[in-house]
Amino acid sequence: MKSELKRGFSSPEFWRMILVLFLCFQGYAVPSYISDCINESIELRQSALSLTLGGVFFGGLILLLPFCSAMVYAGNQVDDIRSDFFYFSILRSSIKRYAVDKLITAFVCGFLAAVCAFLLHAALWHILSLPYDPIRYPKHEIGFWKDSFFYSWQYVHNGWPIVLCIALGMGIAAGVWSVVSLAVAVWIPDKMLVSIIPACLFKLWNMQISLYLVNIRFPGLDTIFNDAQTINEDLSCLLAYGIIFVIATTIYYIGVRRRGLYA
Amino acid sequence: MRKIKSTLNILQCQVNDWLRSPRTIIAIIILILFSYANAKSYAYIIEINDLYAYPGETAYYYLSSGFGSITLTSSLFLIMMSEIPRRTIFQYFQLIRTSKNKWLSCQVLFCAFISILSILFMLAVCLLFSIPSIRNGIGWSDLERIEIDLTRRWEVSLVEPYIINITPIQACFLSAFTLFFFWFTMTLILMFLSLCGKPMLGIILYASLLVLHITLMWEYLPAWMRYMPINFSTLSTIGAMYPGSEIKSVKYVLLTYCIIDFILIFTMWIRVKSMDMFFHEHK
Repeated sequence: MKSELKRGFSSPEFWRMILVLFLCFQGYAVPSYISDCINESIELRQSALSLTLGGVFFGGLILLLPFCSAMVYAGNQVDDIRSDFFYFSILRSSIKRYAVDKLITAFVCGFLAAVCAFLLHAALWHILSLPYDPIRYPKHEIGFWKDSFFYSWQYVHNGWPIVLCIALGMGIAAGVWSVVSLAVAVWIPDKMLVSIIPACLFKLWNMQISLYLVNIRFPGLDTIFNDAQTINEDLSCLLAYGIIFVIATTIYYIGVRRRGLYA
Repeated sequence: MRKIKSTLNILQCQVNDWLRSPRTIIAIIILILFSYANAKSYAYIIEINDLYAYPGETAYYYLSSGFGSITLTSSLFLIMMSEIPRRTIFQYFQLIRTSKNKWLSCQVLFCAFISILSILFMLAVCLLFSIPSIRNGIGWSDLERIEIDLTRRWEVSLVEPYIINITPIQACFLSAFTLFFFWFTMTLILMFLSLCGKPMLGIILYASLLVLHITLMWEYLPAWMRYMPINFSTLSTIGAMYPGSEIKSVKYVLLTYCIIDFILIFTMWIRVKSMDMFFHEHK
């Protein structure tokens, strides 16, 4: 486990994806900040919280998160299979041990990549901009939905609980998508497909394909890191992620077992 | 005649190889699912707004929007065409049997053929899924609605107001040409960079360009920075770029695509003449 975690964190893909996610967050924050600096006085500019969350709520990152989390670790699985390192690893341990180590590392790497990128982004904009304070600067007010728990949290510690909640949600989503991509990698060892299939599944899910195919509406998978979060919606989203995680884990284990036994 | 036959043979081999690739098969499956969801969402728009649609305008709706989401369809097309020229051992046999120039023209023909095939395939799938929600007839249903009741002009319209000056067939051809040139240019750039020994550069470049407009806040940037390839990918995006002269600007965009494509083909032609062809076989 320790060596697998070390391998995950020392891989260039892990650090590259933190950088890519960090840059994606800046897509909203940098142009908004520059525009504000040119046109507005400091009190009328967007707050640090607004610049931090804008990149998430703006939309592009919602689609890119599964893509980036797939790239964090699943590439290692493809390399393992293509270089036959997979078979030596199984010989030295066991199929079960190998699968568990990989699954935990994939989840942890995906989780940490998303959380680190987002917190780094939040820290940067809290240094550069005024902290969120709608009482002192009414222009800072973000119109959170009244039923959402973000509405009351916005007045606590300059909105940091909101940042931490979104970071956690983003981490869970990235971790699960990293596991999904691992399950794809063991069946289809192609780095390009491994990164695109989870993103397509995410998009199809959010397009409510289930509603059209089987007449069942599934909860949106971006709920846990988007605005308008309520307890019920968060729980149903977490349940959906739990189901996806269990399915991906099962598919991965079957794939590892099949490859290990019938090599 | 013999030359044409041998060119077609090479093209057939390329297409067969491409169709058997796992990337192509998986991308096609995902595209079918996207088309299904897209057609259902189109049917929902029609139903909820109490509208009706004809086959011509439905085809235009799909073609002008890049089949619902130009980013997604182009990304999947990019995956299907990510390996061009195909790195198979068969390319060596082709090069023994033919000249480098002929080989290059076959590759260019392959790019054009696949671009057309992809557009036709996606259009057919989308129309097939939309059959329950379309009505028999020709013309623009928006025009008919406005003719019956002038107050309905402010309601939701199926197509942009500037397009109803031309017929649905003309509109379909215009949007299909725009999409074709966007994808064809994309494949030529991928092939050019691949021949220059940088196959991954083209994929990374295009993948970044395709997602840049959904991650970057364009509204706050200077106007000249909005001239990104994705903004010239479909008739709708070109129309949004040049309000007031939508149809006129399409001609200039298509002409620009032709010039870029010609330069790319000419550069590849010079490059191929003086390079050693080297294709790794897939493991």
